[in-house]
Amino acid sequence: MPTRNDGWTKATDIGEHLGYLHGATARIGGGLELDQVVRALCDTTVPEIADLAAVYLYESVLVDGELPEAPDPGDLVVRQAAVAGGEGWGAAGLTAKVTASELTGPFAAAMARGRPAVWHGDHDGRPGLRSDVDCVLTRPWPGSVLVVPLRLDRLVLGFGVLLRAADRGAFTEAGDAQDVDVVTATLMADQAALGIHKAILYQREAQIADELQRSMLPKRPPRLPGIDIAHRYLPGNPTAQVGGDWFDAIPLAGSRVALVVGDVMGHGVRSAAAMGQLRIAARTLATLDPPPDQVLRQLDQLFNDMAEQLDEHYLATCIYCVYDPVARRCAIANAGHVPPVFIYPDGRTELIQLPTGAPVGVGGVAFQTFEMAAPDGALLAMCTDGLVESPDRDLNDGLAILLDSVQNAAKTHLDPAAGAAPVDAAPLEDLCEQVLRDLHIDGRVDDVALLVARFGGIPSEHVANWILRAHPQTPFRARRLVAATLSGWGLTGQIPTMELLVTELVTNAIRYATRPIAVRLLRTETSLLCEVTDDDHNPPVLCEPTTKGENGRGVYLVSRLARRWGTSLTPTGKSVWCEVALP
Amino acid sequence: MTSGTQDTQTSAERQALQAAAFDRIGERYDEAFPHKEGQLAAGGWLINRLAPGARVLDVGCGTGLPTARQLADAGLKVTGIDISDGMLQLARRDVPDATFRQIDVRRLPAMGITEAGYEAVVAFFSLLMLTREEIPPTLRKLHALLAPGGYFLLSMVEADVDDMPLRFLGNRVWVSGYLRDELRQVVADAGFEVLDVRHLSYAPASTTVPPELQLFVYARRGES
Repeated sequence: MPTRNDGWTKATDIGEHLGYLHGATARIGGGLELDQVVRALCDTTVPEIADLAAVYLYESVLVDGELPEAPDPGDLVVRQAAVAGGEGWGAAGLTAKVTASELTGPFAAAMARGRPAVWHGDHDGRPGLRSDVDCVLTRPWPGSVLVVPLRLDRLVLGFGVLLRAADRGAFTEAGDAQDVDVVTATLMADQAALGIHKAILYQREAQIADELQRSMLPKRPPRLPGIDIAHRYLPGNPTAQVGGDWFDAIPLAGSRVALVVGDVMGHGVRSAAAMGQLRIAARTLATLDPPPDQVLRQLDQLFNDMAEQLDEHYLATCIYCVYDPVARRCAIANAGHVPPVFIYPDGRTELIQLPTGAPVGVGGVAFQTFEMAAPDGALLAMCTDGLVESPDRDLNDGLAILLDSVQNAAKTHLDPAAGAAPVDAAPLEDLCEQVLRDLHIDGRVDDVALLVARFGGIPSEHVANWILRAHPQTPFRARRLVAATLSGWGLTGQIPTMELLVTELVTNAIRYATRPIAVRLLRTETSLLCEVTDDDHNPPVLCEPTTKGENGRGVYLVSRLARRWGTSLTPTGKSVWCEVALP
Repeated sequence: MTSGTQDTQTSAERQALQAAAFDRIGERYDEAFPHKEGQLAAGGWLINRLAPGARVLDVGCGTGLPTARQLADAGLKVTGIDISDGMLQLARRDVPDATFRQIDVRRLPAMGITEAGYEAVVAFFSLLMLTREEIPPTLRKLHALLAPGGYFLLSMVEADVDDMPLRFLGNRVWVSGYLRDELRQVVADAGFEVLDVRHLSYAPASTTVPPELQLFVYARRGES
């Protein structure tokens, strides 16, 4: 039980004093956050050493976590960072902030010399002192005052003010006599300065990890036909140094999309960096369009290769889901990740408990792809364990809360009647917010990633697909089919451009194809997509047309006529697609 | 387009492989193609034109769903033929009111399936398993099986391919197809009067089967 006494100046029990000092420095040095450190300094000095204690720090240290560049940064503002005690004295009018250059007396001396300073309230008649003290103690203090600098090597980060009431023994000027309390307070201030430095460095690393993490995550979901996507990322508690969650939505051939959520196990900057590599690897693999289990298999291999090269072994859990808005199906594979949540249009919920493979990086583990129906209006929510799991909530309880939350949020924010496309993104954003609120993750330790997709589908009548033999008549036949289809869709204005585009794509395709090619036409609210698939793996090359030869002109023409165009590899060849905007 | 296996296989061997493939596919066929609006619409069109008890031949009836059941439920006398015994077993179980026989359409006419013996013949997505060489003579045989004035309904997938190997629900099958104008011509050349060719975009419920454009030919045999 801490007691207010005259300090240890007269104490004979050295053991008791050392015990106090040990407890105080452990508490001051134990904090990883700046606030904790300065608060600990105040709390441990009151009431044992002082009746009122406050800590002041340079604003740059307190707010920005920057150390002062020079030992004497006179024009900087010094701000109160913590205060303790002083009940009944109204905190003695301790100022909230003061400019360093205004300090001239004992405060200035303590900071300039890096040594404690002591005086006795109103009884101290030294000239020049009053103004200095006025700046910090805006009301006269009828007791004893001790100022201890917070030193870090040659730098001073701020100071501590310790006040004793008039009815208690005064502090003695350091150096004059062996005032044990002054020496003790100086030691504790030194400890606090080290603690502040540690907190700044720690905070900086957490900040770097957080910035790195954020810089590598998508800022906004892509706008794609037949699906509506929203996502959230929340960093973990900086002192816990966790990170490495990621999510992605990757457009694939045939207006499909790959949805990815993953979590690299590990801490801070390193797991964030590993996440960045894994995310880009997953994106690159996705464009090659293997089945989901193969994507996970390749990522597993990649992590094992990285382990050999970097002498560091990473593990990551990951869900990879490909949604096909035409077939209205999902193909999902899971590498040891939290199961996704599925909400059917009638409100029924299901936890997609796939036989989960081991995490990516374990090596040599088989993954499996599962297919499931994804009816229009259904929701898929994929998250990381930070959302559902916490020190006082196990995974299953968390998942149960998540299921309820998404179900209720879907009722509140989504109109069940508006099943088919076009879907509006705003309600899905609201849904994400509500889910984050419902899961009570404010005091979380781990970081949190959440991706929610709402399936809208592309109506069959907005898709036309043909398989055509490769022969000299093919471009002509494809042209005729496209014209007939567009006219059936009431898009006669697009016929000339699309005829030209399909002619170029088909002409390119049949040049190398050994099997029949596939031509697909797909319309959305805003665009018209034409896709030609053949069994040749070499993607077309875009080059500026020259006066010599006619090679490469087709692709050049496509690149000029289409709003966007691209190539995706397929398991048996490639797809070249182009898109024109609809008025 | 041409591959080594194709040249060395006889048509009979191919047909045996197709039959085995569909034995394995079985009920999964209906799972992959759950929506049969076009086929049901064509069946409904037929029911409106036939008297109860009229004889209908369902060529490549598969599991008997949905057509054999739809027609049998409407009081028509349905005979279904298919090459896949596995599919036929499912059909006998699910549509007890119809008769099912394992017969290859190219072996027609057969015992009990005689010329001019049917008021209607339907062939939904079955002739696409033949080669382009086999399709016209098969169409002429089906024409001959119809009574004068009888109806013929044919559905195919719109594609310009001949005997193309295709992975279908994990099995290899071979398919042929025509574009809509060609198909109309092929049917007309077999002696039919083509009443209409309708098309329908269709997305199978499987990511392993591409979406397709379905063509439905509505035709009849002349009165003579």
